[in-house]
Amino acid sequence: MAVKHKIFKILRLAISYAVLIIMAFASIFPLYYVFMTSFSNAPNLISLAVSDLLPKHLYFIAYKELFTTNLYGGTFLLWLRNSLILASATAIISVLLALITGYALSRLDIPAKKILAIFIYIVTFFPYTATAVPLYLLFAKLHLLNYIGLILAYTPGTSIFAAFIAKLAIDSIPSSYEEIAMIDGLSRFQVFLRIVMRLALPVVALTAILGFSGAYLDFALAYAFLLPNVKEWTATIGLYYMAGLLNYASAPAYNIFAAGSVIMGVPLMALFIVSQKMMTRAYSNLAGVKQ
Amino acid sequence: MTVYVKLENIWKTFEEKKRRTEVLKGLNLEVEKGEFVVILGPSGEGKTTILRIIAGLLKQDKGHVYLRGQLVDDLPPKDRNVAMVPQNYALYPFMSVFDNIAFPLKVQHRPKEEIRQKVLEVAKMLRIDNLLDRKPSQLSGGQMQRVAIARALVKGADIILMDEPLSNLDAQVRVLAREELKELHRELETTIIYVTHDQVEALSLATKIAVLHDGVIQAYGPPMEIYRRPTNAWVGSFLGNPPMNIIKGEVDSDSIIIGNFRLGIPKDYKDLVKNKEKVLVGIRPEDMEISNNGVLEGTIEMVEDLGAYKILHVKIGDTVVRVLEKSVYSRERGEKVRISVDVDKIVLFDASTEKNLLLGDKKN
Repeated sequence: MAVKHKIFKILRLAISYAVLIIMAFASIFPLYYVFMTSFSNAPNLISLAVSDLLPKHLYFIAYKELFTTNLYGGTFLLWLRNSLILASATAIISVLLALITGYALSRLDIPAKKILAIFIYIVTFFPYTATAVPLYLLFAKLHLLNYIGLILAYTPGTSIFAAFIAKLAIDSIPSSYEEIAMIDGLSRFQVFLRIVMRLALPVVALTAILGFSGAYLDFALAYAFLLPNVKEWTATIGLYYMAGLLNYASAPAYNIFAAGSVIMGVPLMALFIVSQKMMTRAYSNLAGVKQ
Repeated sequence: MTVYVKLENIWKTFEEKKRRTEVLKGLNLEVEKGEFVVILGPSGEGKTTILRIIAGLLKQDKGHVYLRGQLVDDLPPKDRNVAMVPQNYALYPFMSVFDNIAFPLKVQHRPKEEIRQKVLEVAKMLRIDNLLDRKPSQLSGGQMQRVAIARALVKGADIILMDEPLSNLDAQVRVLAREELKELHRELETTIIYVTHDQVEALSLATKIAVLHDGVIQAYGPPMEIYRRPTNAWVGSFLGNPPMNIIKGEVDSDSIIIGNFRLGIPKDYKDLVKNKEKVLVGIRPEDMEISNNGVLEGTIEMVEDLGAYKILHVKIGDTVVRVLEKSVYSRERGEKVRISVDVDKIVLFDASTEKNLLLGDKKN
């Protein structure tokens, strides 16, 4: 009996580990592949032989090219800076918009609140890319084919989804926190900024990540909105042309493309690490009220 | 004595899903400086609503709030200079105990050194100075309650509102906390308005009790005064455990007829009652005694054992009265007993208005 039991246990563990290892490989391998490609000296994709996966030499040609090339008066660093500004602005505005909406839906006595909440919930189901064409046409009419227009286009997609989550999160925060803060000398808006946002930190972090990565990684909308002015390009547009058009006679320079991806990944990774810490801390602290 | 907190004809109606509930219906209350007023009432009768209206978190539909003699109807909470201890303490989970207590001062941008001093001072007073760098999640219920009180005290507000601050503590800690609260009030002489549904708390803490029912204050005064002379039958039966017995009776020349029995008229009421007047007779369970020469006669229906005391439910005619007796004798169900009554402690209420006859016709 005991032996059978033990075998079963080992088998169970073996299966779990096998599944986990396959999943981990599937998610790590593409990253590793891009990383390796960025250190290659040839513009083509590295071949998939096992021996090629451990490179014999690391070349920095792709990085050098990426940082030194001036394409129509723009540089990758400039575009990266543009992207970061655009993404940060989108993140901040998304957070504010989502939490203010969530707060209103949760706390304030507004007409047709329930219908509005359901409507917002349904709207989150629509694919946001479906709006790209009408947005372009609309914003072209309004002369908003610039950063402001882009931010205006990015934020609703994130914040309408986040607003619904924010409403749920704020519902679960006892209102006595806000009341005490108001009695102790804060105005309602200050309470929102200092207490509600802080207590809803996981949602703030989630919204910020969604907003940031959505704007940072977007190509289609940015391409449609910003193409004529090279100085305003984002990193995704810049990378597309740098890797592709620099040597349009041959195939795209995948090593440059990979190098750009690696560089672009650094701020995203930093954001994830920071917000993950924030989220765990926020959750572990959430025991300050005795129910 | 000056009136420090005054509520004048306060009305408040809540509307939820098309159902209107009138919570406060013309409530009046005057609290003098330095008093510890306990607002006592059943759950859901609007006790917390009163506190929220005083603090400015809610706006009354009608009526006026005066703090320190000034009309504050249009002042936001932050300008009313009151402090509050909510039922769940609401300690910010992301701040240490020190930062929690310091929060009201930080909001006012006081100098750092002053904040540190004041926080230490109140923390010492409440014996939580060893907990200052902990997070609220690391505190016990009693400690959380003290931190919440410290936060209320630190900004020096002279009106403190407390919303059942002891209800989350277990029984033993609660008794201690009650004593400490009383001590604190004696030392600081701040005006405290305290809300609870627990009458033991109310009787032991208050300098004055305000009994809330049906949206108005039914009785207001020193605890024992209200206990001995309830203003109406409802207050009598609400205050006290076991509650006051309210029995229907009729005045007949110099006695009161209850069923087949006669009781004397208490001396305070002798000149107030009219012959053949229908009254409600209020008798506290502790003012009755099982004795062989008692005037009432009945059968024991149930015996509740409380250790040192027993509550006997005795059926007299067709009403059941509760009698409190020391657990000296053993009592059986079905036993026939005679009950004597301390006549001068009886309270008489008007049968239709249910008001204490001592109050005459004047409106309370």
